[in-house]
Amino acid sequence: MKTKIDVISGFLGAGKTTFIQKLLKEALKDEKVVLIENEFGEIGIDGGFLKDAGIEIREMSQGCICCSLVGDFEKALKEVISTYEPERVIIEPSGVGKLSDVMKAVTDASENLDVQLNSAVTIVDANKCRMYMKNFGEFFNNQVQYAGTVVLSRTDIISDEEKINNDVELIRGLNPTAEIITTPVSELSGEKLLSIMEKRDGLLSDLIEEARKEAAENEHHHHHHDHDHDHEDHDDHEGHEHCHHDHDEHEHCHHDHDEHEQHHHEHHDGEECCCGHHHHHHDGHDADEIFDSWGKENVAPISREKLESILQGFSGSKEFGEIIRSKGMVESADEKGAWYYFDFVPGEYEIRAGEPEHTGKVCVIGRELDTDKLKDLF
Amino acid sequence: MIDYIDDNEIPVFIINGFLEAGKTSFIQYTMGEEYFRIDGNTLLIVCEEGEVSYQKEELASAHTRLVQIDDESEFDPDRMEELRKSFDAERVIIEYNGMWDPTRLRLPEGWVLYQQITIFDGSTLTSYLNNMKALMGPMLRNTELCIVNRCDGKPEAELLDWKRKLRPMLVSESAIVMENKYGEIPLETLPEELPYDVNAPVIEIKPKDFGIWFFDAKDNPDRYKGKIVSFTACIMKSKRFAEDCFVPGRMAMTCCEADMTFIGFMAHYADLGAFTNHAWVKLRAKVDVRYQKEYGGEGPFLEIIDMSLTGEIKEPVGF
Repeated sequence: MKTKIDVISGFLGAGKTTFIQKLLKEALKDEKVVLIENEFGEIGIDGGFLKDAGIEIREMSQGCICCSLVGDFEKALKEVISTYEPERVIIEPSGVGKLSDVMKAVTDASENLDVQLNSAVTIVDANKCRMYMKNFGEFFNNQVQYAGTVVLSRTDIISDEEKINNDVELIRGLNPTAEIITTPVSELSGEKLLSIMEKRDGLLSDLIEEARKEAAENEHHHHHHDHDHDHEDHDDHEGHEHCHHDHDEHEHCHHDHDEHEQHHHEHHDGEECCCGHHHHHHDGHDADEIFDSWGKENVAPISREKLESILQGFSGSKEFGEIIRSKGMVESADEKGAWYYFDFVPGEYEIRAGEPEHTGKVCVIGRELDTDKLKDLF
Repeated sequence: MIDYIDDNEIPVFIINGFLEAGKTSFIQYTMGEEYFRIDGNTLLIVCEEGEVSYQKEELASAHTRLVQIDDESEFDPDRMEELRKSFDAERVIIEYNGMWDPTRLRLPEGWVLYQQITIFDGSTLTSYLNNMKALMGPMLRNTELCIVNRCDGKPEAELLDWKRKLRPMLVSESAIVMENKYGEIPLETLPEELPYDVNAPVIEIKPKDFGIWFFDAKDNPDRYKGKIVSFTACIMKSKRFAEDCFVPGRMAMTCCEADMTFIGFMAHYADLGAFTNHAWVKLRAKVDVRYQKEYGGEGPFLEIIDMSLTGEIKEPVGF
């Protein structure tokens, strides 16, 4: 088994240690983990409990940014791996270092060592996001840009929803594909955090995909189309073709590598989002199969009453377009820490209680969706 | 400090420090002070946008025009001089960006750096010193005054630790001032605990305490006057030194590995010729305080009693 390497970056005081502690205590108790710190935080990691749990902590050099990371790092990593044979190494790099440098160092090291870069997370203090981005320039932006997951910390002490929205927008501007955790980390379990980092969690893009599939199946049953295409395949294609992608509005569309490969989608560039790139490929499909989709993350808490009225509105009128499916997970405005999960098909909807998600998210599948109006709803 | 303005030069004051250190508040406060007032105009170049913003009325009453610079590359000498001319400014204040490399700052011709002040926030300084020394070194190199504000509630030991770590990054003549909400904290009266006994017949300085001894003796030479010290160091000879004079010293890491300096005091030993340059010695010396042209003033001077060859200390001096 290759040793997994997780990089947790972020500026001084962003909350990296708290985040790592939570992961270690709640999600990695049964794994053999080594933590490599290149920074000395205000809160020390509790050596005692970690030792008991079989977690080793190694500190590198002086937490100094000007010393070359690479040479030191590969040596340190090699030593750590041969000494402890860990299943996982968590690296907390210097807060003023570039995340891409650390990622490259890990990738380089993986040529000679049996390790693989598993995840790259950046913690950003929600209160300081704008100010840091404006004044810190390159290293801060680099940390946001290269992160697979961005965790907004201290969102629990910010009463102004708009501020968090603005932060998400700023982060999206630099990194259109990262998962952004806006729910206070204390409300999420360590397992949940780990599954988000490792991209095993239900992402907004997955939610859209799921809803789209369900919608397609529904349609299929209803309309009994007689065209000879293999449905499953095409549903995926349609999905990519028509999702509206607009970073500024936090809309997110799905890109799944494996599916694309199956379809021999030669135009697809692995790193790019799919949206709007392939129209010419799919001419001639039955128009009934073509859906619009719209999704939003960082949805503000909502009351049950309001959610019900929205879902009733979806059925009752074509104000927002013809909605054939909607799903979502949103924080409750009625009760702190409670979440509503909902499912909508025309004529019926279900709202149930669910576990906290990393961010409130909603998706809508339909025809001729009025995304501006939908945006105002959530 | 503004008594000596030469008509042909533009005095420049640079206020540096990390984001949220209190640079803007400091500048606003200083601009309001009588001693800092001038009749002519002042150009205020702000390279950072923090939480506190400047008050329009106060700027106007101090004949000050604010120019905001968002990117290091915009700090172009020609452009800066044009701005200054267009406002007919006689003085320039720069609120610098703590993440920009101060060694890359280029001032236009005719602008003269009068004073550089660096401000740190005491509530985050320990963490910054642990992690960001590499940025603090260049920031402090030309700093004349280093202010640490918001020291409220900090134990004396922590203040002393800061002093011990900041001192080596500053040039000798510069000052460190620490403040809490009541004002300046008198640093001289803090009970400094030295890792060795200054009253012992021979003060034994362990290799790891060399830096502490060096800076303490530099700041308080009289504390050691007439006393005998013992330590291990490397011989540094120079043709420019007086006969039989040398510096027994060590390489010190003032901020990080990329920034090493040799530190030590001038010494005299009649039998110096028996030792090669760069040899490592264990020595005993009597401390004198005298004028040395190398110091540009008075400082500790070591009259070697005896010394013998010993092994090299590989680790640089840390703080």
